[in-house]
Amino acid sequence: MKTIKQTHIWLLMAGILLLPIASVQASSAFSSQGEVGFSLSGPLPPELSVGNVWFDNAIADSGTQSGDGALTLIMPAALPSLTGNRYGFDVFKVSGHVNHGAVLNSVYAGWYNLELLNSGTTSISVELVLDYQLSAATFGQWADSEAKLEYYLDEDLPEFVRVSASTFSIGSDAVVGSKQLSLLLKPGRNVFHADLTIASSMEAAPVPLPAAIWSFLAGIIGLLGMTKRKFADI
Amino acid sequence: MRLINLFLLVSLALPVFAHGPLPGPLTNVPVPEVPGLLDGSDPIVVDKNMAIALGKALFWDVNVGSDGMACGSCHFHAGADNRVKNQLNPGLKSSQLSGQSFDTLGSGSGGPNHTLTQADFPLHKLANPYDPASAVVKDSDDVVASSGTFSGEFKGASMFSGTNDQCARANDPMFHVDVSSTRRVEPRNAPTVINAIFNYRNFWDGRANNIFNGSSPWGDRDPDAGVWVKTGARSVAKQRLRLENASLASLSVAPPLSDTEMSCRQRKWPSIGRKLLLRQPLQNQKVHYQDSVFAGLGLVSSSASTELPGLKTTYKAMITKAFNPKYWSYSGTSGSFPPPPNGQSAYNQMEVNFSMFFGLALQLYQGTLISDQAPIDLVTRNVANPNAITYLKPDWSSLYPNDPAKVTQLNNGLGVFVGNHCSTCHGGPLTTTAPIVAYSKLLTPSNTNYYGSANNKIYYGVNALGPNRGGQVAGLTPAGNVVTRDTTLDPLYPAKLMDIGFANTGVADPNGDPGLGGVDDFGNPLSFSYQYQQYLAGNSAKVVDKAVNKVKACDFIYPLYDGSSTLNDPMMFTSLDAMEVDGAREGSLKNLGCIVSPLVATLNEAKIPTVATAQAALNQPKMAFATQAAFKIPSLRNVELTGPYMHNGSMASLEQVVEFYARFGNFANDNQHAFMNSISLVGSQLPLGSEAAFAKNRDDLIAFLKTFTDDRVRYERAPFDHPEVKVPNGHVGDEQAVTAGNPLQAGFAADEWLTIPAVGANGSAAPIQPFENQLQP
Repeated sequence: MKTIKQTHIWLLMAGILLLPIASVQASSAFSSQGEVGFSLSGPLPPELSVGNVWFDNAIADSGTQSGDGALTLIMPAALPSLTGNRYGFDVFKVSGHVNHGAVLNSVYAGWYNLELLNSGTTSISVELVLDYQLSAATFGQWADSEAKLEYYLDEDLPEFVRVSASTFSIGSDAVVGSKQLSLLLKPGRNVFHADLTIASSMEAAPVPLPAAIWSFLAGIIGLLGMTKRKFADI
Repeated sequence: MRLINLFLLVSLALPVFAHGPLPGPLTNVPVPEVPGLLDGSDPIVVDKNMAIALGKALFWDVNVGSDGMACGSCHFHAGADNRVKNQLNPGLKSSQLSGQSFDTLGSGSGGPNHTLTQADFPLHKLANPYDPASAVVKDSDDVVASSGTFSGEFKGASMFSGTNDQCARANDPMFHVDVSSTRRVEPRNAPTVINAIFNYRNFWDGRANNIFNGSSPWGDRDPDAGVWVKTGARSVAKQRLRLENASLASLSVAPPLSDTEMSCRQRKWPSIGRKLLLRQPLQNQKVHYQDSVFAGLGLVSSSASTELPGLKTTYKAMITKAFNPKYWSYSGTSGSFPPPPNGQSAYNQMEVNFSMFFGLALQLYQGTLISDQAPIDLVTRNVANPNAITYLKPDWSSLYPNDPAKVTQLNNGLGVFVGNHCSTCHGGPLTTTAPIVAYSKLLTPSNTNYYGSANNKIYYGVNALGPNRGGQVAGLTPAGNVVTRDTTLDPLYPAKLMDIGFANTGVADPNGDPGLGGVDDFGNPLSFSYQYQQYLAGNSAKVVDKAVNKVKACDFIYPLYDGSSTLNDPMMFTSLDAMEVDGAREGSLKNLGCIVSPLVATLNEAKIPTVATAQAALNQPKMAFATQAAFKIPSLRNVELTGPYMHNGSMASLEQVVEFYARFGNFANDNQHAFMNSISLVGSQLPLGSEAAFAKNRDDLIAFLKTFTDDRVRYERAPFDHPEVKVPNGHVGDEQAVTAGNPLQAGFAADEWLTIPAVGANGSAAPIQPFENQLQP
């Protein structure tokens, strides 16, 4: 009868243990972004002048990371480009990918600012068009991401536009639009704000081992038992 | 004492239908409004239907608990719990040492993982159940309640999957079989959630405050409560929240933090939010394709042929649809938010306000659980003349035209119910005086507002709860008093202040559980009666529930003041005492519509003692209150299905309950309500004192009580349908030995599970059963 040397069994077991059994995971990812532009439309009052127009990265919280979870950030330049009467900013994008582990509760916010100066002594009215593209997309198991754009003048309460995606429901969501706003500018300095926030979490789901591997292991253990008995008989 | 004799004579002389509230129809009884919740220019809830769906999902979702418990795990059977295995608590509310250990019950066994049998009930058993003087055969301070969580010390929870929290779990010194820990059991029986929306306060001890503060059960009493409101584009601030008539919201935020019901210790509400917000609701629980709430909103994945788990959304998405953005749209975090557990990212606004979303969603969902289609609601009543002595009398032949024997039985049963004053405490359409605000509305006269069905209208007014000013017998008036003065079985000074909606009937040793006589987490007594006593004495700092300031003394059942008396009376303020007009302190007199005291038969005067007089009398019987071992009067609606009964679950069947009352209770004590001694269920059968003498009236009374069962509850039809829930149902083994190796912890006993299948709007084919039907002998 052919015998199986015990050393061969142990080598096989060691090989199996080297397999990343415990860390077989499904991966997950997200990608969310926003793009913003300001345009002043209609006849502009003579008292109006545009001051600084700029972008700030106000919040950069990468959350709690574990495993190989990683985020990629693409930030607009601080200054927009002026095309005709439109101040356009580059895209602000946050994306992430994880094979095993998680990135939880990441929050990135960028603030777009349009300074409007009123050299008169009374309030003036100006028409502003805020154009935007927002998207949020999630992939795999599991991820949740949202992009929200709030807009307001000075200390006013903001309105907002929001897209939200989850691998449990709507996997991706996007909106392209514009808001036509009538702003009442007080004498002196006014600032129109658009705050973009991208909040995301993702976690790679553990995947159960295929049944074949368990049969294989059971077989190896059985073989080990046979070998032991053989030695004991001697 | 003379006055008590007068009361007995008066009550016996009046015909049965003249005395006290009657159990009326629940149809069209208004649910008290919560100002600011759905109305006004800036409501908290902007989509009521989505908020109800959120509430239904959270109520049934086992991911809310730390190890598989949902609210529905203890409130799945007619809104209550009918499990029989591992349902015993040793009596941990007791101030006596015996409450720390399990007793041997009537079957010869007991303790953790015991399966209850008929022999175990009632827990307090007499040789002759009708004779209070007969020998006590068995007594126990154990409580039949609900098994809950293993608990542990909370560490964290995953944000996307996994039912169980990460907790440091250790062996339980109290709940175990041999060396294996078992699930802990609550110290009080789970009441039904159905119709609880009407109660002014909730929990057996009333601690679920009428005012919801957004983060705890304590209403105005909690100085740290509050919610975070977005005040500007980049600013958020903590603000006090104060929603009236939101007692179920107050209640809902307690069990998910309880270490006997649902939670590992030190878990806080933002952590529960963090666990749930990004998940699918009912993630691993099947949802019926005809669910009465979820299907209409397009949230169900299931079809007629395939039943699937989960809703097609996330909790975060439901909250953004249901709630005003100022409670969740603030970006990022704030230094004012509570700190997260070690190593975790800071909380966001939706997480720190999660307790508010949870409480209000559950309030709105449970507000749909109203069972108003029972026979007692459908029977035609005599409504022609509100001043007739037979006003509201049901005509059972309208429901059972071909069953004259049943009609006779139900008439007799109702007569026993009313004649023994059951209907006074179990009063009105809810069969409890706990719905103070709802009843005050029904009693406020109106030519247009009515309750009952449109073809059998009961107009709001002084007789709306019962003919001959029946509501007043229970202290119920348009003023909506939270306190009254009533009589006890104290042999010397029976008259005491009492909380309306609560009573001590002597179910258990008064030291076994203080009930309403307990205190809150801040050391304040729970009861309104204590606070009213302090209000009279001018100690305004002790009045922590503002409703007490509105108590109207001249609506009391038994007066505080007898101006015609020139005696020095320990139990009454008299003309010898310095008094003032009630309401003078607030600058708003409470002297209109004073009632004739139902007990003394004279008109109450709107006078309260001056502060100095009250201070001097603080320890005298005239200022005494009866709250020790008083418990919220339960509704009898669906009582056929909600056993076991009483706060300690000590009675398995309605027969045992009726026998309890027939023998005037189990434990006579000075705070016991006076009605307990005037109960007589004896019929004309002989021999006197035998079961035969009581049996007919007992059986007719029980037949009448079964007219409170709504068939939609019995068959789990809408709105009582629900998703699938797997409920822990004891552990593998018995009270002697268990199988260990629970996935939560190797040393824990393995769970057995009861699967309650998902049910849709059309209900289930088989009716749910009364508790005692599943008890083996």
